[in-house]
Amino acid sequence: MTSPKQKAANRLNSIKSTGPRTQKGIRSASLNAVKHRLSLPVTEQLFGKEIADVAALVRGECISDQQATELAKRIIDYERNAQFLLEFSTDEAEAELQTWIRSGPRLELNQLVGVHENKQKPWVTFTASRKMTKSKQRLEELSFLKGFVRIQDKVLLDKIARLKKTQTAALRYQKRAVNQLIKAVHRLARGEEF
Amino acid sequence: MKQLNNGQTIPQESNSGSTQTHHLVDASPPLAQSGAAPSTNGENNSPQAKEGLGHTPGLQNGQSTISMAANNNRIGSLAVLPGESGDKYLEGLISTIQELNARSNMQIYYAEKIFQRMWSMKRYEEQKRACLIAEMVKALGGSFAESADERLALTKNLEAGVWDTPGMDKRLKSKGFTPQSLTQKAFERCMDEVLRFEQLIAVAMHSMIGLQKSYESLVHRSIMQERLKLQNELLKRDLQAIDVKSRQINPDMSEHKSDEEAKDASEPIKAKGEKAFQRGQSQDNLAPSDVTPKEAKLQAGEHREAETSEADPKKADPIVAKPKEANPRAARLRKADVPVNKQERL
Repeated sequence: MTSPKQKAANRLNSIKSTGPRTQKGIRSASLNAVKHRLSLPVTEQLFGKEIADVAALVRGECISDQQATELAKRIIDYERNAQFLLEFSTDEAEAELQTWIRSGPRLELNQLVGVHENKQKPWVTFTASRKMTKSKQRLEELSFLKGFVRIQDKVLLDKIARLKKTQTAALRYQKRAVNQLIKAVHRLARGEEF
Repeated sequence: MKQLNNGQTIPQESNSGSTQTHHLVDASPPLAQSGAAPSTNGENNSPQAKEGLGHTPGLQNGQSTISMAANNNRIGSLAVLPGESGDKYLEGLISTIQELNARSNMQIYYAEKIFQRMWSMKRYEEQKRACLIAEMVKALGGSFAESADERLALTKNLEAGVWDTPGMDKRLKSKGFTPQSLTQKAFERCMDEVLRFEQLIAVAMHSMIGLQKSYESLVHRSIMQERLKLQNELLKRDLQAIDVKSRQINPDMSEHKSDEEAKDASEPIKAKGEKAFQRGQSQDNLAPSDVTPKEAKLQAGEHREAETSEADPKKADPIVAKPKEANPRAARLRKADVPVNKQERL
């Protein structure tokens, strides 16, 4: 366990910190407060009409208005999760990746890579010609081409990975919503308040 | 055809399916509006289904009123995907509602959720099968010259489970497969997807069980509340028993009393011992001298106990010593020295 002395030292040191410095770090830290939209609680501000409608429908089975509102909130939470999962799909991103993989420009870039590797004459160059040996120029061109293709692939692959992560989180939220609804109904059956 | 937000299509209203469901739905808007695409093969003409939906007040646009309200009366938020039959969905939903005997809004909502879980489980199973078939077609095809029609025919054959046609035999032989090895190959290739579907089925099953349990508790609410009341009564009775005064044994009388009670208590044991001895004799045909009679053992035990009780009155016969407390539960509670409000909770 951290000693009080060590804690105090940590706090002092943390004052000296200036936060993330690299672009990547700044970007990452800027997303710290971003939450999955399904993690937001169901409130009257966001779902006022839905809560009122559902509460009116279930009021007959509840012992109080408050209980009916709570039950309505849980039902809406469950429904929005189900809706999200029903509409959610990674197909678009996957199709985008497939299109890019089979696209003409990518094939051409790959062909150019092959040309440079076989030490043939390329029909186009991307890097500026400087005073350097041919082999060095070829290597520079090769690294540029490979890097470009990799970046393009990575962007699309990251998009799919992000979407899959979102889907996993949505499944987790749905599980939670189901459990809360089940608990609410059990309490309702016992005649208890939530 | 008009596209809905889920990619579902609205069929023409002149279709037999949509007009049938028209009568069925409680509220008048057509089922197609809710996103369920009715099949055109007329599978669902059962009059029972019609009657069922006619008597289901909690349904609106093929959805329970609660789910409609929760989705802000949005259209097209149904669990029916393209390629699935809206009629079948509706029929299944009605039969589930009828089977569960759901009456109130909440019960109908729950029945709907249970059915939706079943529906999605069925969907995952079908997708798993379709995935395997697609892999089989890939394994059997593979030539660029193959036309789309040929692939379609092959897929249809595999879906129908037709393996014994000469065409299929020829294909299998040309690729070096048997039906079993082809299945194995397909499984190997799409193992990840199969596992994913299995996981989804497991999740759906888990939540369906939870929903069923809470539906049961919702329906049998009165019985449950009655049971809880009875349990409370029982607890109250147990706690009242704590106040019963325990019997005080006079130390002067204890020896005589314990002897008498020990005698009374040992009499049935003796009788039991005799019976067992007789049974043993008759079963094993042993000589009486070969067997140590239980009675003798018991008597010996009694003598020993009597001696010990004479020497130490605290070590009296446990059978006799036990009824000091009227209620063992109360005794336990008293021993633990739990405060009264905690006892009530216990």
